[in-house]
Amino acid sequence: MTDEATLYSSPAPVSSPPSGTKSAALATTAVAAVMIGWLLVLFVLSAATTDVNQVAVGVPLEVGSGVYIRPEAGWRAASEEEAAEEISLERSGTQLTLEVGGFRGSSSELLELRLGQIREEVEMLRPLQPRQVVMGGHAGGLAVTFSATTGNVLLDGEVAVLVRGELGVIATSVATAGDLQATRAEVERMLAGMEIP
Amino acid sequence: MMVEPWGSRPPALRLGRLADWRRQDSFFQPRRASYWLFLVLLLGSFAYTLFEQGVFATAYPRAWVLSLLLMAGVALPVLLIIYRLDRFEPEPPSMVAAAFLWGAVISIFFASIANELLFGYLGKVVSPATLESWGPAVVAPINEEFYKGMGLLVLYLIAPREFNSLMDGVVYGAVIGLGFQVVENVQYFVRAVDLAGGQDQIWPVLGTFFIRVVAVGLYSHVLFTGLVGVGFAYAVTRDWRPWWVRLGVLTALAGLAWLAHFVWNSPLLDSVLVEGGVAAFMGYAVVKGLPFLAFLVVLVLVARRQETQAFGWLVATEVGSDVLSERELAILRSGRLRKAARRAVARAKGPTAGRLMDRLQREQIRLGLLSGTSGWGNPVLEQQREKIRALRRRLAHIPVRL
Repeated sequence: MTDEATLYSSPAPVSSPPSGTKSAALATTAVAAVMIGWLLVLFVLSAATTDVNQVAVGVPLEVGSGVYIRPEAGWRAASEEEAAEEISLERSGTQLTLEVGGFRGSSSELLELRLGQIREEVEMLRPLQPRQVVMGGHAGGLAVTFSATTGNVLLDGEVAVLVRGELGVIATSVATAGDLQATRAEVERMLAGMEIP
Repeated sequence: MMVEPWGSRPPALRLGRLADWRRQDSFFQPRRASYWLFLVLLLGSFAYTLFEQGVFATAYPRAWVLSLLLMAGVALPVLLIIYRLDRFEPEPPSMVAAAFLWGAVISIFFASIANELLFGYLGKVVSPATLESWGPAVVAPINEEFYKGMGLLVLYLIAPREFNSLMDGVVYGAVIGLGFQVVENVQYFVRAVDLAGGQDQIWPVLGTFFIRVVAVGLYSHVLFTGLVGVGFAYAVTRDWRPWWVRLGVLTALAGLAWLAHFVWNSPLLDSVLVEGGVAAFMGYAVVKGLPFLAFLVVLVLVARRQETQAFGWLVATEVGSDVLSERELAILRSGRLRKAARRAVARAKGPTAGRLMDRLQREQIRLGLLSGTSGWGNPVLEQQREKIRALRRRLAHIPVRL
């Protein structure tokens, strides 16, 4: 018999906690109950809590300057402190930011301006060719899909802009690579259905 | 009144259950309900781990294999270092393996679900921006420290005799943390590949490895659960202290582990990172992690000092005999002196003698474990003494190099 085996086969000393007793089984049951119970507590807590970030589906949400968007189901407010004339919505990893403001120029100039801002925030920006889009029932909008890299993270995004008179509207949606596709159709519908004076 | 068979220990050496050094339990305790609970939890969690790792392996095979190799390359030496912290009373390998599995499989499974649920709850009460900044700092410490800590409790219920000093708490806590850290890092490595565009690249793995393991690996789960482990060991071994003191120490150290995890995950000082640069990053890591690590190191030193005292007490009857001289005891009590002695022998008599010296020291330490089980007549103890004498003879026969 090895030393190890001799040690392992030693009888329990008088001071050791009892094995196989009711109290040991009770303690074990309590451990299992606490481990699973904590998950149940969190589940119930989450299920019983109303989402303060939920936005009403289909109810116009003002961006500013009389511009409204109607959120589709599942979209939530993305930040509590918005700048004036800017709102952010979020769903499934896609963040949609809408901004309005005075702008003297064309849609293509506004698009260039926005892409320039994004270029400053990322390490690499690769935009595709711009295409015509309809925003708020108005033709003349422009949209561009881009991919970008920041801190080793690959992002997909899309910028859509429209200039009406001296009012510029910018919609920027961003998600980690591959995630944008899931919400693209919803974003396009929401932009098409915007209210723009 | 219960009389301890080995006699009462001196008041100055009231070191918990150190006297139980002489007996070791293994993990395999089929008579204990906690053993079966461990196995059931392991089986259930393992299915999840297999599924997750299978997904990683299928999606990014090269990156996944590299992640495993990198983490194995780090985890094995760290495991050895942790294991050897308890030089005088090494923990049974089966218990250490169980601690690792608790961290790597069971606690990560439960913590993943709990994190998901708590994130879901917080996502309903704070804005997504706030959740993104502070969510990891709030969610991860609560759930992860809780489920890793439960591992200490389950291991204690399986083999209570293995928790007999503060050092045992350090070892089991740190090993649970190491297991957790290994699997979590593999998740981060693969996620980095995913975020970098989803091709099976190795650079995101290497980049994340450098940041999470090389640069800041010390300030992670090994540290957090090591702290909880000391608190837990204090609570279960200091049976001469009032229950509220023991509970207070456990709560304080668990709270400190939570705080360390919170501070590390929080966006505090993130502005420093915006400035960029390796120096800024290292400064950030040092400020956020080093104070807690330093505190754990102090606790480990205290625990080691107590183990050394206890070792001296356990081998007291052997000192001065042909198996352990007073000088040798002094050497064995210091890691630095042990190493110096091995080197001196290796220099004088060659590397084989150096290795023999290492073995001699290990066997002398083991004598402490066995010493006093049932007095001088014990055959196992006598066998151990004989082993030491044989090693001495072999050493003596090796000539000094000229």
